[in-house]
Parts: sequence; structure tokens; C-alpha cells
Amino acid sequence: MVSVIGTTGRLVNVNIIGMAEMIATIRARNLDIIENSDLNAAKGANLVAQEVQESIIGNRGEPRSVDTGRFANSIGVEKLANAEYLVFSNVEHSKFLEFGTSRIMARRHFRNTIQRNQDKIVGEITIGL
Amino acid sequence: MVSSIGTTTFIADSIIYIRDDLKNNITDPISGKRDSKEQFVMTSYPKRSVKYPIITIRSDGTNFYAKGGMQSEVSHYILRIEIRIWARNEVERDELTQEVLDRLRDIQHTATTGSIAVGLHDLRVVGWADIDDEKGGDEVIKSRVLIVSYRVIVGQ
Repeated sequence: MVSVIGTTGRLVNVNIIGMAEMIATIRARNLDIIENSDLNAAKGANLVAQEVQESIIGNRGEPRSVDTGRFANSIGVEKLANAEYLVFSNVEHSKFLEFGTSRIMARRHFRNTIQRNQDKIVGEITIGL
Repeated sequence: MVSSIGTTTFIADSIIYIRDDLKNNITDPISGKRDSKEQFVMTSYPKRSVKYPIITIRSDGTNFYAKGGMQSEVSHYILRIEIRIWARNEVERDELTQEVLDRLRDIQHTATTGSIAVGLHDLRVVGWADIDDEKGGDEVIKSRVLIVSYRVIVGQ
């Protein structure tokens, strides 16, 4: 859990997702993480989710996008299939922040995270294979 | 008009080539009402008030780089380009998207001035996302962020 100063000046708590929380969320949907390639893919997805959250709270190059903390705390990981994971945000305004609108500039939290961490993500996925 | 993608200017050349081609070949739905100082196709998001629809073209970075060989200065990139269609309604957004995709597809193999001839190879449509932006009142800007990629080989 980290505390971040939001745009209105008040302190906001953001829960950075760890492997334990991610596994608990996946198991809550009656799925599980199997060894080897599935586990590596899960680690890669967890890395992406954490990096996106770090980007949102302003610890990477992008502008901070924290007001109430809803967006930062909405980042999740979902298992789609064996060795296939989705990192997502389920708040409606995430698209506006990511791509920008006619009134606000794009923040690119997701896309910049992928481009910045490509080698690390591939490293996590291929380790031990 | 860009006639060849330069080694030291390949990012700007790629954007300007696509901008010029779309500007000259995509029909502006409000050409009769647009001021002569306003542009239909731009290379950055508008900072001033504009009349929609517009198309913006920007670099979206690269996710691939390779050298031409151990002793070579030749570099091989996959350039991602964002083409964003900002429209007044969904029909207009779909029509403009279709025109852009058709045009990029058509010009690939055109002799001398086509995208491959100038140095933009292997066109791929990476994907797109729709953003509906409520400006306030009744005006809603329907935009589509279209990402395409080209292979560029420089330093030859």
C-alpha cells in the first residue's frame, strides 16, 4: 500500500498488486496458476500491472493520474487461458486518460509501460523455458 | 511531398508522407465550410479550437529494432503510427476510417510515389480503439485511435 498526494492535494492510498493478491483474485474465479509457462506468464502480467500502477501514481515518466485513487486501484489481472493473461482497468475514464480527448492530453500509462518494459516482460516469460 | 524516407529524418518523413497523402486524397466532409487557415489533416493534436472532423497523425513509437549485421550501420525499425479520426458522429467516424484504410492499402505498390517506393514497407493495421468524448452540451466528438505500423530500413 502506498500513499500518494492526489490532484486535489489530499492523501490517497493505492494498493500495488503483488503476486499473492493476483493469485487470490484468479482463484476467486475458480481458476489457478499451473507451473512453468503459465506461471511465467502470470509473473509477466503481474509485472505489467505493477508498472502500470507505478506509472499512474507518477513514479514513471507519465503525468500522475491520481484524484480519488479509483483508477490506480482498478488495475487488475485476469486469466484468459493457459499462459494468457489480461491486464486491465475497469473504470470508465481509463480510456480517456490513456488515449486523451479533445480536452486532455493522452497519458499513455499502459502503452508506455509495455514499450518501456518489453525486455523485462519477455525475460519473465521465458525464464527457465 | 516526401519522395524518400531519409536515414536521419525517418520519423518525421514517415509522418509527413502519410499526412500529405491523406490530405490530398481523403475527402474533407466540410471542405466548403473550413477556413483556409485550418487544416483537415494535422501532425499533432489541435491546441486551438477546430472544426470537426479532423485527422491527426503522430508517431506511436517503435517496438522493434534490429541491426543489419555485426559490422553494419544499417538499422531496421518497425515504426508505429497513430492515425486518429475525430468525427462528429459514428457514421462519419466509420466512413473516414474506411477511407484511410483503403488509401493506405491502395498506395502500397504505386510506382515511384507509393509507400513501399518511398521506404515504408510491410503495412500492418495493429488495431484501433474508440473514444467518445463529451465536450459539453450536445457536442460529442467520436474519435478512433487507429494504429498502423511500417517496416523502415535506414542507413543503407
